[in-house]
Amino acid sequence: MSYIQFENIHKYFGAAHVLKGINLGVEYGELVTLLGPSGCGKSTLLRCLAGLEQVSEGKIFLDGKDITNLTPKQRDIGMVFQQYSLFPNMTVRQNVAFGLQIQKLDKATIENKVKDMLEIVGLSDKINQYPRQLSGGQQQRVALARAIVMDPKVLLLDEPLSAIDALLRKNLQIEIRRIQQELNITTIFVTHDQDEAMVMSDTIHLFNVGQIEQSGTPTAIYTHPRTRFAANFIGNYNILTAGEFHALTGAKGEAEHIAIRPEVIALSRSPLNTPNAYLGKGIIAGSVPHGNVVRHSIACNGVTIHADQLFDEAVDLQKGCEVFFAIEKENCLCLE
Amino acid sequence: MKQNRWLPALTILVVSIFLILPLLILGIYSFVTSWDGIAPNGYTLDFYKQVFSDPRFLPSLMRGLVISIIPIFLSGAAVILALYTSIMYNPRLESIIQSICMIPHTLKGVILAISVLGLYAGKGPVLGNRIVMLTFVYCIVILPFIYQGIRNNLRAINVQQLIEAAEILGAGKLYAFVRIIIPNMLSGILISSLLAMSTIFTDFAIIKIVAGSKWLTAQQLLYNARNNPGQYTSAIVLIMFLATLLISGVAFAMQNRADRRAEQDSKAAKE
Repeated sequence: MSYIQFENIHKYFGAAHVLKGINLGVEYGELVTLLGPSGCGKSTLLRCLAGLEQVSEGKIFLDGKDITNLTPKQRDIGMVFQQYSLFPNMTVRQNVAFGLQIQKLDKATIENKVKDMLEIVGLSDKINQYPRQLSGGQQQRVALARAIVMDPKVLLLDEPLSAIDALLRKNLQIEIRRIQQELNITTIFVTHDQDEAMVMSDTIHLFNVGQIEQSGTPTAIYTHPRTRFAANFIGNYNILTAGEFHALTGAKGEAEHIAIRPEVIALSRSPLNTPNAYLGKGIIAGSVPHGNVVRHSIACNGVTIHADQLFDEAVDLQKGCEVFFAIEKENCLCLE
Repeated sequence: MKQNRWLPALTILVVSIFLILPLLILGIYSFVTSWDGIAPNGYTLDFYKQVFSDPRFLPSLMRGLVISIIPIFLSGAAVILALYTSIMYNPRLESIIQSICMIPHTLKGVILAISVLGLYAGKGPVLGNRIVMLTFVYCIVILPFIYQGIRNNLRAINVQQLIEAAEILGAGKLYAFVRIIIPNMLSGILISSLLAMSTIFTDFAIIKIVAGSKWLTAQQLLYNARNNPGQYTSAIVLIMFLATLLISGVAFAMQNRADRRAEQDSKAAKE
């Protein structure tokens, strides 16, 4: 049995079947991400683990103990919410000390723990400030400190970065991961942002309409999506029908849908001779910059695919020009 | 297009004069010895001396305060508990609570007072007691003010999530409500209370119908003094107005202070 074990979890809200038999294990010290679109049930599963929702069927085990029917305060779990949920009438010190005071620890211990924790999250100088005096990122770090100062068995992060601007979010992703690894806290992170999931996770569980669509390491999920949903959600895959695949490559598609990552398509102005690859020729229909790459739309035999190229290689491929492409056969993934 | 800046200013000035003039004249009148022609014949503080030397006046002001405070506590507690229950356990109850709390807006105080009197008069030493009846009538009269103020305050904070956060940290629901939610509602409670207090403090009709002469307030004293010189009653009205103004002023000053503090804090956080 894993450190955290969900066994056949079902959850209904009235007639809506939100979780449909979830079986999932999380190992000690792991950072696991529940990834999926809004309304897929990932936050509900997290809330069931926290005890904020009761499961309709199934059991939840934490560290070998059945916690299915325990109240939130009996579960020894820390949680950070999307909207921070800091107590507005309390200073940073009081917020972080809140749970420790309920545990009736002595004042000196509380003070030491609070100070240590604020040092870890880099907010020692904000100890006497109120939440309204802090920026969004600082508030989220206080929320994190408040959760982990309790030394919980598991830390739950429910879309903690979604209300924070892009640049700060990237920094906080790294910081949360650093703290998680430094303290070796088993963590479950919920997000709908696949990039965030890739950066932070040991394991990703991809959710779709109340079920786990696919589980694996970030690399495995990104490079080998099993289903059309996974390919659509996790990357910017070209998803072709068997007919479109045939029109593009001349080969017969071995599945109803075939997925090709934009970055595995090699492009050149002159004919390519890549071994064990599908070769073809098309016209650049348009190009859009995407961060450090340029995404070209290539029209070929009535099919349009997208291919990524690093900026410095992309200079000579202009709209309307003829381009040769090569797609290695192993990078054409058959979807279920 | 060039805007005419004088027109709005002039409108505000005319409206202000229209509103302030009666009070101003009342104030001046309370200081005059007599007023036969265009200007007063002379000024005096005698009428204020008479008001304050009346041994019934200050106790009647205090009675007004006492009969205001008890209903505020009772109504406030009822609204807070009802809203807590609806937010935590059944959000659909809130529309019912809102409807109930808004009913007094549609009922005139006089109708309410007569109904309560007709229903409870002579019904035992507790419910039939005029002061008890008066207290509960006021509880109903001020319900809309109390409800609206507290509800607006609760809307500004995510009660459910704050309580969940506290529960995960080991707190019980009630403990979380008392330690986290109520302190965040204090400004709303205070403002609602002061508005309600102003309403009760200046009431005459309900107290006259329900309590008669058993609970003499400044408003009743004013009614009883209707045969005295106009300057005397003007002095009482002005004193009561100033007392109400003081209560409202405190409420608005506290609100403004809280708003300014929040604004400064959020500005500092952005910087």
